[in-house]
Amino acid sequence: MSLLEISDLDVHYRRRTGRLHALRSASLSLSPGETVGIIGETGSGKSTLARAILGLVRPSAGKIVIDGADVAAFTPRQWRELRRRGTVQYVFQDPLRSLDPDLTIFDSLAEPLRIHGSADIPDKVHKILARVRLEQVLLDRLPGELSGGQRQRVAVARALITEPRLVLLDEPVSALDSANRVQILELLKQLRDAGTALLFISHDLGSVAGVADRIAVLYRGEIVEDRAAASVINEPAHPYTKLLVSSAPTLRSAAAGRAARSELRNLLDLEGASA
Amino acid sequence: MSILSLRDVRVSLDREIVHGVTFDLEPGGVVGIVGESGSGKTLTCRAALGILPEGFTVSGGSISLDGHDVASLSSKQWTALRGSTISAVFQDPASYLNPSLTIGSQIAEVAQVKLGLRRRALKARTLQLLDAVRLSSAVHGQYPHELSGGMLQRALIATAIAAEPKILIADEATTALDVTVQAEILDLLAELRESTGLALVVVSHDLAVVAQVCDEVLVMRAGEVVEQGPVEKILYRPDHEYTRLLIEEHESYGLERYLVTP
Repeated sequence: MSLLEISDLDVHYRRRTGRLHALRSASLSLSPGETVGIIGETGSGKSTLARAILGLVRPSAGKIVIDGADVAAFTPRQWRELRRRGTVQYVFQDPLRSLDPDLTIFDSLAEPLRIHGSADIPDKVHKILARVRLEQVLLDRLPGELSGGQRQRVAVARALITEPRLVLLDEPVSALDSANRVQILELLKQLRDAGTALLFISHDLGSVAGVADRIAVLYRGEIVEDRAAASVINEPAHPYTKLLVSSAPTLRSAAAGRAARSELRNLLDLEGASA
Repeated sequence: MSILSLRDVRVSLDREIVHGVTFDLEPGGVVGIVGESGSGKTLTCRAALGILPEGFTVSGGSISLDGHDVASLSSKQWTALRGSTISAVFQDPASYLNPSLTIGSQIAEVAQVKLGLRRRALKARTLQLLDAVRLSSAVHGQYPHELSGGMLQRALIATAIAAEPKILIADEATTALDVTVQAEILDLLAELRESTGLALVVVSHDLAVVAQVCDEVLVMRAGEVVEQGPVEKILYRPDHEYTRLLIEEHESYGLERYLVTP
């Protein structure tokens, strides 16, 4: 059975200029232990999808089934109950958003356990810190006293401490330099291998490609492709995916493909105009 | 002859921060500088532009710009060279554009001040520049807040090339953009290079971005050039451990894992 099953999800935002259709019948499923990458650029609807799964926006149609329950119809009270269980956790691009600036690292990590009503809190905090390879001396510090890479590792540790079955990661490595990016990606791989399901949302195909089993491509609110990572990258089907793959800077394709990219851009502009 | 030549350039605040950078940029050539924050890549560019932050000085070596030793330039002479000989675009285009002026008037201002164009010639030149950076003429009357990040960066490139400089420095100019938009801007720079002979200095934290467009690459870390050479050498026969780390990151985690190597 799927851990997460999204079917025909529609989300609208009300804007001064009219209704904005942020997601159009998006469907996606995630099995336990699976890692799925969602690729989308500005305006693709990727953040809306993340927010809908976390109960932060209300869909106008469709289902989001987490662990057997349709959360799209949840009341605020049911949401609080689901969050308390810690089945689903999240990591954002900016760890300052998921860490309280006034709490020490120890308290930030202990908080989900206290809400959860766990025993052996200090022991669990020490273990999780070791797992993300941070030194114990950092426990007394505030988030502002850590480097960006250390903060992101704390945010990952905080997400993992309740042993969630699903972790949602929204651009977890986009703000990091290369050494820190490698460390976080390595950590995500270990998590995946240990059986945690990951939904890895990013604008950057490159960072997702190394971790995801499957890649779904979001374009203008629609999932236009959803297949094994290698097949999306080697045989992209949708013109947008083709443009995405040929635009990603790699060490092997210097300057080639300029004409092809230009053609794809023209094609997509035409598509947009007729939509 | 080189249009821009750096010889063992050192930059200091209280102590030395950039420990000797040397490269030659030919007309129409592209030099890339790769490094992470704190590597000294931006200070090196700022030294070449004569706009080091308060307190920083070029404490050693020499910079020759279009045949002038920049150490002997007065601030007036510098002002004359900036824009018309050397120009630059940075990561956050919005902070270099005036929010209360139309894009057209900001491009026109550069052409007016630097080239002394008047009215009709000015308007024609502005529209020509918008076309060169693949922006529609409708953008002429629009304000910065009406444009996307990629369009803003194009508009900023239009102002940067308005006075027909021989060198454009692009310092993390595509870093904040979506991947497809980044490719658009890199394609645009390559086109400008081909059509106008513009020489480029492309600075990025991402080796792959630099590898797309450059002939020669400098890899910088903590103020030091750890490796330097033609792009093929850097990519396929790197000598330094740090360069190998940058390549390794792409090969283990990037698309390279899947792409079939030709």
